[in-house]
Amino acid sequence: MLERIRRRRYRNYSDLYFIEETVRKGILAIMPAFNEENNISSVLADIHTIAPDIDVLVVDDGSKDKTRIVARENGAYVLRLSINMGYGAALQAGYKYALKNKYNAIVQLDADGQHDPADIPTMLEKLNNDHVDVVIGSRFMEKKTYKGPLGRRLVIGMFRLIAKIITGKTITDPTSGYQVLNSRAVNFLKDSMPTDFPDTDTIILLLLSGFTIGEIPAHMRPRSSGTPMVTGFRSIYYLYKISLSILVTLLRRNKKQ
Amino acid sequence: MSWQSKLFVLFAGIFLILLVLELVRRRKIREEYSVLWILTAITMFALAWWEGLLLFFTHLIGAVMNSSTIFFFGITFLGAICLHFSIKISQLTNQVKELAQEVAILRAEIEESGGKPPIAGEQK
Repeated sequence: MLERIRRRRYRNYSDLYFIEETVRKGILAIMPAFNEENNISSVLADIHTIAPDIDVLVVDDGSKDKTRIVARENGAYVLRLSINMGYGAALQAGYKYALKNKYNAIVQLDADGQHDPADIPTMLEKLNNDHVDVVIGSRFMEKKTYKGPLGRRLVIGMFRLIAKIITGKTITDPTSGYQVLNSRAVNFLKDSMPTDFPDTDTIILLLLSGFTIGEIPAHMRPRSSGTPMVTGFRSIYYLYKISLSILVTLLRRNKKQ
Repeated sequence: MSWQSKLFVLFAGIFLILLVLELVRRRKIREEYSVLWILTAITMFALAWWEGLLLFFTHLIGAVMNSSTIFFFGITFLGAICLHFSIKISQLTNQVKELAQEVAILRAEIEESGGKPPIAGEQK
């Protein structure tokens, strides 16, 4: 009986036992995606045209549509989370994947196409030349590039001020999800990442822990379809959550890197 | 405290203890989750049984009615139970997240190495 089970398992999992440790290195673009089958192919095509030598990983956060199939057809690696766990958890899964495959740096961007992949080469250049650990694609470095709702701009302004007061450094767009991180920063964030979404709190944590952050002006494109992440009631929760998260980040003892 | 309310609280305490014990026996509650419930029941029972203790606590918290003391302790313990649950739920959420991520990475590795991921429960 035991022998039979063992043999069956061996047959079913045989591929698992012979996985070769592939060392990929290079750059990995991570895109958490939730029900983005309509947007994802054009974003993947754009990344491939602009930066053909970087790998792309789509983290399908429990989508109910064909996100993962479309992504795979367009040449991306796919991580499929069985349950919808939120943006932060999806991103964290991507971090773990990147570390496991020994990538040198990661680019994180939204799958809805709002983050223009045209900025990726500039960000990677900044990471290399300025020897920083993180590069943020900022919506506010060039005037008039971003015309979001007034409320949102006010909130971002407030968080910018809070980050400035706490860390003494000016980060023009601490809420931007468009970032490039080297493996050191990824390894650090892998364990201390908020599940719902990383934001100003993560930036403050990185700065307090001794990481260096640079910024480049990024260009936002209007989203083609789908719904934005933070709207209505959730924006109040967003405000509360990030403020609380910043507070407890300060109350925790942060290890210097 | 009137003998009716005393009797009522005593019976409520006994009922709660028996209920929790039965649930543990049927493995509907794990032992670790029964602790706070049993403590709640014992406290209610002790306060109703031992008049002196009840009077002492009533005086201590400045309550007018003896029954308020019993309710106060009941609510305090229920609050503790809720907090305990919040902690446990957060832990469970984290564990589920870790598992989902690990499964996703394993599945990706199998797919990338050319094999087909085994479907759970599939008999061959």
